[in-house]
Amino acid sequence: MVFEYLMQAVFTLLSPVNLLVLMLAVGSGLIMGMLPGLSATMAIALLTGLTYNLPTQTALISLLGVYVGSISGGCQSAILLNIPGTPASAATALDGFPLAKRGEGGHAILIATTSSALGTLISVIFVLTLTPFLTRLALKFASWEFFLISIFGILICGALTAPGNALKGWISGILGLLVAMVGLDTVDTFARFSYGNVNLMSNIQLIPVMIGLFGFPEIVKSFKREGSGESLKVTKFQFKRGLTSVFGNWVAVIRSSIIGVLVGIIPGVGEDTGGWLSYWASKSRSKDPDSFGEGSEVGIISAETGNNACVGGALIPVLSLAVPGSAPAAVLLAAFLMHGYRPGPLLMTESPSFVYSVSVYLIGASLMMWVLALIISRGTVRILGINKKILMPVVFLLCVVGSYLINYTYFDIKVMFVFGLIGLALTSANFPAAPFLLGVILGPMADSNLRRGLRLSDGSLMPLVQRPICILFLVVIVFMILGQTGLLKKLKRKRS
Amino acid sequence: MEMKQKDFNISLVLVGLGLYSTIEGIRMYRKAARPPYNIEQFSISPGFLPTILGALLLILSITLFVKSIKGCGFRSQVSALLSWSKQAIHDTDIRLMVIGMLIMGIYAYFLIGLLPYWLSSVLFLTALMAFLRATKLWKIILISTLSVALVIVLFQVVFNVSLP
Repeated sequence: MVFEYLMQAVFTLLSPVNLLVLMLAVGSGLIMGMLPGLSATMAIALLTGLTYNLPTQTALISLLGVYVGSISGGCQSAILLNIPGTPASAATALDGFPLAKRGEGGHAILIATTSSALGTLISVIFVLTLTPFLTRLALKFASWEFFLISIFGILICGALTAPGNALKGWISGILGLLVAMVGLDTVDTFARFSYGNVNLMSNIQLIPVMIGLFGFPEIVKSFKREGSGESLKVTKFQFKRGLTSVFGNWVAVIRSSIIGVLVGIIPGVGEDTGGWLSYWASKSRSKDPDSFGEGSEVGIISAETGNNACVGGALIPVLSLAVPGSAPAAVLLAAFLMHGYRPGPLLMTESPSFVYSVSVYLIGASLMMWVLALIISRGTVRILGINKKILMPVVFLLCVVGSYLINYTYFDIKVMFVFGLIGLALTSANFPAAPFLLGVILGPMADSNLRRGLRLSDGSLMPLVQRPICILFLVVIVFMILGQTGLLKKLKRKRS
Repeated sequence: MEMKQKDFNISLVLVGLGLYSTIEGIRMYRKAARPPYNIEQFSISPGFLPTILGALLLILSITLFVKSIKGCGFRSQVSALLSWSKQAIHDTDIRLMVIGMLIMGIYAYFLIGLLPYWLSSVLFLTALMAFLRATKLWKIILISTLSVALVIVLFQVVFNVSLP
């Protein structure tokens, strides 16, 4: 049966229309990824609204294509401009730019692109093996467990996306949860925070919220007068030399892939963390750690393999638990829901072919990315020279269209604008937007499951401390809160 | 602006929001206790989670507020906010961002519903790019027209969806 699903997905992918869509999606993802200020999350958020009317499989292919493309595209500006196109490529700039300065920009792009493709391909193996396992495990979850896992997801996302100040991440998550409370509640159809407005009663749509949160601030920030850095030229590369460099460092590739997948699985932690951790792991294990930061090939390979392995890793909890592993994955979850899929424990029962389709499309996207990235690299310098003051107003035009297409209402355009302002205020005060979005996505799940659980227990919260999986989640949550607030350290000090 | 100053400003807003959400949650509970809902138990009321979330937001915002005034005091933060506001008026970057957002707001809230999509979008793009001095005016008009035409062809013709 698995083979049948895989073959079905391969044939769907190989249809001329879908191949063309994949090429366009990966290409636009690469360009959006390499332009500093246009993040992967923004690229997917924008495309989600635009794919609303596409056939489901075509929409999936385009969304995964743009995800893989945008994460990989960031390395080109990191190497040539020393400005990462996306945060995921920040670690790549450390060694990529010095290598490009030595006149080996083409070689640096070749090894970065090949490592990116390998990272995604290896992560697909984990998607295929871990997702069914986690889905089976999640079938043991009831209302209380689902409530706790959504809270756990928001808490850990808040803690990890606001390093050094988890408070801001948690506030952001709570704000998202409060936004999710707007509208008729799913249990009693009671109107909350609606003020008699029919549009608010039908809940705030996710897509305008995420387009506003992630797209709007980048557009507005581009209005500032800022000089762009000088970019280096792409030199010619030799395939044999590049491939030998990557495959010669296979240990770093495997290690970084595993790190990337594991980081990706943790809710809310992005591809940037995957890249940094992989880079750090390779540096700390290297016999020549001083070469890192001076144009080390292993540094580039580790960072790019690690951040792209997160793509598959982040999809594993999306598919099995409906809890996104990163900000772009959170947007993808919304897109899956919009196209009629219900990721979570019942996914393997309701849509058994879905996981295999996603895996095949990821493989297709990473191969397409490898080919296109090397072709596009010839024109990277020109693309990086696009005037932001021309590009960003056009991007806002697409934000408006993307928000409007969800329900064909002007109200959603206004919602996008309002959440854009909120996103701008949050990012300017260093509040991460990812927990906010996660709160909006997981809010309905947390609310409905908590209230269902409370109804079944006659309003008692005791099941939270009576069910084994709940106890496990509670212990982890308590330790995380104590650890992040510094109380754990204080307790340890007192004991010693 | 310093991060502590930013934390101070935003924590004031968040405290207000937390307070409002908590009160609104309690009001929901009271309303749900009456017919036709008749849900008298707080823990199963639709106002339960909003109240808890509001209270949590309030606690965390107060914590952020306290952290932001630690070492410098409330009064100095207020005076720093006032002096920053005076400087911000003359800051070119802030002015560019605010007026840019204003143009975007006018387009999103008024122009789209008032004029045909193509006209409102061309006007918006031309106005914003001209304000930002992106390039020469004739180029701006050409780019705006071509961009809107491309969006219309892509969505209305290729995807067969209706635009605003």
